[in-house]
Amino acid sequence: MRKLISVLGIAALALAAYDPASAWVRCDFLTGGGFIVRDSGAKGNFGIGGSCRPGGDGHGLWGHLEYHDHGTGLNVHWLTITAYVDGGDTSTDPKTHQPTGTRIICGTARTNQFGDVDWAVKAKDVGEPGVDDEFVIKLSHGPVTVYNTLHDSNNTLGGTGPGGGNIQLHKENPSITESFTELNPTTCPAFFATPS
Amino acid sequence: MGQASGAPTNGNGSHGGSGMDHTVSHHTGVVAVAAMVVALLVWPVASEAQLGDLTGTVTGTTSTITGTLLGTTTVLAGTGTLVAGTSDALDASSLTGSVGSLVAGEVLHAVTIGYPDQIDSEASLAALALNVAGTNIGADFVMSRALAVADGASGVSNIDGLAINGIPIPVTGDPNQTIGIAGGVLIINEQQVGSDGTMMVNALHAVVSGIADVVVASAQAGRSGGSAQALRASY
Repeated sequence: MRKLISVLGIAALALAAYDPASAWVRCDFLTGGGFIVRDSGAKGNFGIGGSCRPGGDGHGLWGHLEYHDHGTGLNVHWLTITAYVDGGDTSTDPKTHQPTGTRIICGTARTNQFGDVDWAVKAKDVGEPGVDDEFVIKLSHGPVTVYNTLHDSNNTLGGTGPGGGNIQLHKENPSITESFTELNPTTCPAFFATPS
Repeated sequence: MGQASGAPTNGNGSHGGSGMDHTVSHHTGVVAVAAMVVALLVWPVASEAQLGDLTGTVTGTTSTITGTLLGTTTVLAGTGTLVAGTSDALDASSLTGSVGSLVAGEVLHAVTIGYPDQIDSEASLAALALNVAGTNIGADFVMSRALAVADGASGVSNIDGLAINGIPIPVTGDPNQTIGIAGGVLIINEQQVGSDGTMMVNALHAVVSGIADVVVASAQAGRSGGSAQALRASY
């Protein structure tokens, strides 16, 4: 009986130590710029930034997205950031000792071809010199996809293809008290839009 | 203006979805607690290695400053200055930007992120078209990055498809590669270290005496603070 009480006591202490409300993960930043080359041969130029941190001025979270597809003439200019999601692959670049990994950034944007849209960007920092970094962008009207580079034969910034640029995952920042965003159709409609 | 499709839902971890064929990691509470413990252990060390003692920020995106030696200076997608030692982040971006017929680019992007012991600054643009005193300088993509930590600073530039008057220019990767142009010079991957160790990296810097001074993708990090500008032109 005494042993059972001890076990229960340890369990209670463990539960007390793990308070989901206070066990937040300090969040980071992802930034980058560059270009992918679509299967059409046209460049898709981009600048991207994102974080869990509030962005202020009614723009949701911190960050931005600018994108221009030279093949279709599509322009995308961000309006809000609605999600900053841990996409995994987190590691450390042995060369720079800076973090590497994948983040999914979502928001709304104004375009010259589809009006206002939801967007999702998958940005992957593989490490320096950045040629193997990846950038994927998907636009939707709510649940309906209107533009998607995911299925292009190459999403890298030059590693196995003709792209260029660099994506950088920055270390956790003490200014951020918010956690990564939960990925769901409310926070990131474009991610779940079909066809995928 | 478009509306946000949903308020951010903060949660400890995230979930995978089929939309973009990604696998999304899930953080456990144990990892979070461990991270906090590590952070608390590391925090005093970081505090001792602060880059600066002042706090406060100045923000900005696009500005025109008159009264320079060349008359007017215009900054496109500039972050303003982040004071060293400040845990904050500034950014600026623009779909396109131009300064008259002198210079133009697209997807302008500038960021500076501060920590107690580090500053990361980054600036970039694509589709550069610079015409200064009859010399056409173009590039597919231009980026500079500056990183300052307690024991030093470093910088790097990424330049794709650089050409002068249509002739491709090999980029060596060395700091301060200099190319002569009519009436001036083009400095590639210009790196300057200030007396306090602050690193300034200008991916491209075109100077034609008395005509124009144009910096493309400038990033600064160090004890003087952090800042980034996608484009700065004096003319």
